[in-house]
This record gives sequence, structure tokens and C-alpha cells, in this order.
Amino acid sequence: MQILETLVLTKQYDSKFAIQDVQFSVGQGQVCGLLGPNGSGKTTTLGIVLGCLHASSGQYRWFGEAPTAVLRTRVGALLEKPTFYPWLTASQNLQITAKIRGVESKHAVSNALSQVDLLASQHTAYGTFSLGMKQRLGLASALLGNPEVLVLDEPTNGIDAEGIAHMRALFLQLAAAGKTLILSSHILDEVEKVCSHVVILKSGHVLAQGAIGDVLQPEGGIEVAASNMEALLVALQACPQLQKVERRGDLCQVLPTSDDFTVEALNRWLVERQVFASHLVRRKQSLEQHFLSLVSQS
Amino acid sequence: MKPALWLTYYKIVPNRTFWLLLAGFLGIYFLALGTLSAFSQLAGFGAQLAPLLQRPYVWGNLCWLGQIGHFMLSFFLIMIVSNDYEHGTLRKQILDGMSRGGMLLHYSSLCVVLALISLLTVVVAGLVCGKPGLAGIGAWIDWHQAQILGRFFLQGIAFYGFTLLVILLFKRSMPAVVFLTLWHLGLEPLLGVVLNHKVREGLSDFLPLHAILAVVPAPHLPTLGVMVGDTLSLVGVSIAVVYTVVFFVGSGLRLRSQDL
Repeated sequence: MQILETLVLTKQYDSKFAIQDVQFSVGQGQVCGLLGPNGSGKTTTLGIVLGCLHASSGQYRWFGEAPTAVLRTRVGALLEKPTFYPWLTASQNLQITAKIRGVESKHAVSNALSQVDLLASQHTAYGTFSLGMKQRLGLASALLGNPEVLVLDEPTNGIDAEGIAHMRALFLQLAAAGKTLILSSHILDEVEKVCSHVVILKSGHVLAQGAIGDVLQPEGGIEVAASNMEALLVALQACPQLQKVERRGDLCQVLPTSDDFTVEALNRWLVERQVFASHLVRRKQSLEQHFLSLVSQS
Repeated sequence: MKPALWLTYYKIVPNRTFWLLLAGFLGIYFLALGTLSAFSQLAGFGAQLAPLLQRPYVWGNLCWLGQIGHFMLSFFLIMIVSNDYEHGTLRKQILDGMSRGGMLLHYSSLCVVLALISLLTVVVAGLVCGKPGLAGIGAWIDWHQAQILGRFFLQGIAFYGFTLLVILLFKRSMPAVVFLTLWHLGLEPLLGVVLNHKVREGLSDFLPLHAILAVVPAPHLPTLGVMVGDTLSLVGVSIAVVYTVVFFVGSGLRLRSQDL
């Protein structure tokens, strides 16, 4: 089942396109990362699907249906920065969210606050919170009432390293519980560690999307080392399945002509030539490398 | 409906500014009444003021004086809506699942609550300060009084509706306050003069603030011979009702079309 589907979404301000023909879908149980440089249209896209902005054209569907306010109560969201009433306490602010979402449980607010480690500050006015505490309260608000879907825009902004690790564990826990998460983040490493799927945006266009394993193409090649580097180099250069062989210090970097040529096949080739590898690793191109190359290519 | 009313409760009850403004309004209102009451005890001109506090005229007179409540509490409405834009809480409530229609309902309920506060103040003041009536017309409640109180409530709703539309258009408190002040003191009277002279005499009666303020008649002081009386016709009330509808529909359209 598709949780969210966007169909050629476009948002135009005068003559400038914030996003253009953005089309992607997020399936149930996926953890989808929305990636892109500043001004790529991530927040605009999320703003539209969360009902805050009007699309100039195109449409979107939540849970396979046309969007309504009632459907939005099934989505916990944090967009850009947390926004609460400064004169109300953390608990009072969350009670407003609970009332709007129709969350009846008396313990829902305290449960959400304890999930983000803010229970001790529940009676403190929001206006006195630090940036990290505000961000955590925003997350608590999104988590309130155990929604089916979480949409989080830069969720770890302003949170310290320990807090980020805690959040990451929380996201993984939510994903394991079958929740659908849509995360927008600048921290590519974070997306790589948490997300199952990724949508890459630049200048309002979708550059790439899909399962993270597919988008993260194994184009990094294979690293090989042996005690006899000269013999290794000769054996590698003789291999017809390798399009590129390069020595980098104590390692040789090789690039197969196709993905079908596995590490095992290379090892067999070397053993047949009496060369025994002491190091044999397939290096995947990191998401960051791929992201940067995609962004620069476009 | 329920979330909209809860939102209204949370915006009013824990809000210190609301209580300060309310205290300011009540202070000014009851100070004015106390002064009037004290003067009316004196011989001479003071005694001539006494009928202002006599039933049934006291209700209309207190309503007229109570317009200051609409004015002062409208600052609270401006503050609440502009805060929603400034703090991003309007967007937050949409994110949480409130519809834009729900937000209009919430703001409308805020207008109703503020109008009820002004009305309640007038009713309490009338019961506390009202003196026994003139011979033959000393009834506590009659149709005329109920009508005046109803008009006062309608005036409150219409005035807050106008304020709501203005703040939704400007989004920030300062431009909204400047516009409302300029409109009240200069723009509308000027427009009225132009319309009366260039188009047709009497058209200024149809301008929004003039129409709204005319809903509550000026003080009734029969013994002084200042018989302003009930100058308001059903047409006047109808104009105010139409404006009220226009303001709230306009506010709804503004909320619906806005990017938050």
C-alpha cells in the first residue's frame, strides 16, 4: 500500500519554480529520506503534502485517498522548526496537539515526552527551552498518539551528539515497529544509516529515487592487496573483466566491467595465477559521494 | 468543533496579556461608572445626570460606554492571531490535523468569547449600578433592553470580525493596528465625505465601522432634553449583520487561500 504519492507536484512563486513535476511515492513501512541541497525544494514538498502550502499544480494522496484534515491526524509531523506557544508549558502545548488529533489517552502526553527524554521538563514554559529541547518537544508532538506515519524535516537540528544517537535509535525502533517515516535531512550519513529508501532533489526536481541499495550503486570498485604487489598488478592487468586497474600505495583499486564480476570471481582468477590476496574488499560508493556526483552532474 | 474551542481556552486562560487587557478594560469601565454614579449624587448638574443610570435607560447607556471593551479586547485578538503567524503555531495546528475551516471556527469562537465578556461586563454593571427606573418605565427587563443588549453583542461580533479580517490580511500586529486606527480616524470618515458629496447623500451610513458603531445608540438622557433616542432601524441592524457575514466569510477565504 502506498502511504504517500505525489503526482507531478509543482509550486511556483511568480515566475520562479520552487518545485517542478515532483513525483515520488512512499510505501508502507518504508523509511524514506528526502535529500537535497539548500533550496532544492524539500521543505516546500513536505509543506504541500502536509497541507501548509498550496500546490500550483499536481496532486498528492495520503493512504491512497485525496488529502483531508482527518487524514492528517494520522500523520505526525515536524516541519522546519518546532512551533509552540512560548507562554504554555511543554505539557500544555502537547495537550493542544492531543485535542486536535483526537488523542484521548491520559498518558499520551507523558508517553511522548518520555520518548524524547523531556518528561522532567513537562511543567516548564516552552519559551525557556534551549534549541535542543525545543526540537525534542517538536519530535514529541509528532510522536503524540502513536501516528502511522512520521514526517520529520531536519529532525536532529540543534540536538547534541548524544541526542542524535538517541533519535537515530528511536527512528530505527519506529521503523522496526512498522511505522512509515519520511525524513528530510542534510546529514547524509544519518540518512544512510536510517533510511530504506531515498529521494534526491535538486532545484525543485527529483534527480533519483528508489531503494537505498539501488540508488547507492556499487560503482566504487574492488580493493585488492597481496604480499607480492608486482605479481598482483600483472595478474589484475591480465584480467579481461576489469576495465581499470590502479595502484594506490599498498593497495590496488580495480573497476570491473560489469556488476556480475564478483569478488569471488576475482579471487579465483588470482589464485589460478598463484597470487594470494591479503585484502579483498568491494568498496561501495558512499551515499555522500553518489549524492554529490548526482548533484554536480545535473 | 471541540478542538477549536479547546484551542480558544488555551489561548485565553493561561495568557497574562489577556488578563491585563481585561483588567484594564474593567478598571476604566467601572472607574467611569463610579465617577458618573458619584456625580449623580450631587445637586445641580450632577442630579441631572442621574437618569443615565436609571432603568431601563441604563442598559443602553452602559452598552454605549461598553464599546471601549470591544476596542481594548480587539488588541487581544490582534495579538493572538499575529502570534499565531509569528510563532508558526497556525501552521502547527494545520500540521496537527486542524482544517482551515476549523481554524476559522476557532478564531470565530474567540470573537464570540470576547463579545460575551463585554456583554457580561455590561450586564453586571447594569445590575450593580442601575437605579430604580422612572415612573412607569421602571421594569428590569423589557423587550427594549433585551434588544439593546443583543445589539451590543452583535456589535462586538461585527467589530471583532472586522479586526479578524484585517489581522489575517496583514499577519502582523503593528500594520493591523495602524490600519485600524487610520481607518477609524481618517480613512472611513474621508471616504464617507467623498461618497456623500460625489455619489449620494447618506452613503456614509453604509461604511463598515459607521454601520457597526451605529448598532448601539448614543446615551439616552431624557431629563436633559438630549433625546437622541433609538435612532437605529431594522435596516441598520441588517447592514451590520451583512457586514458581520462578509467579515467572517472574507476571513475564511483568506485563511483558505494562504500559504502558511
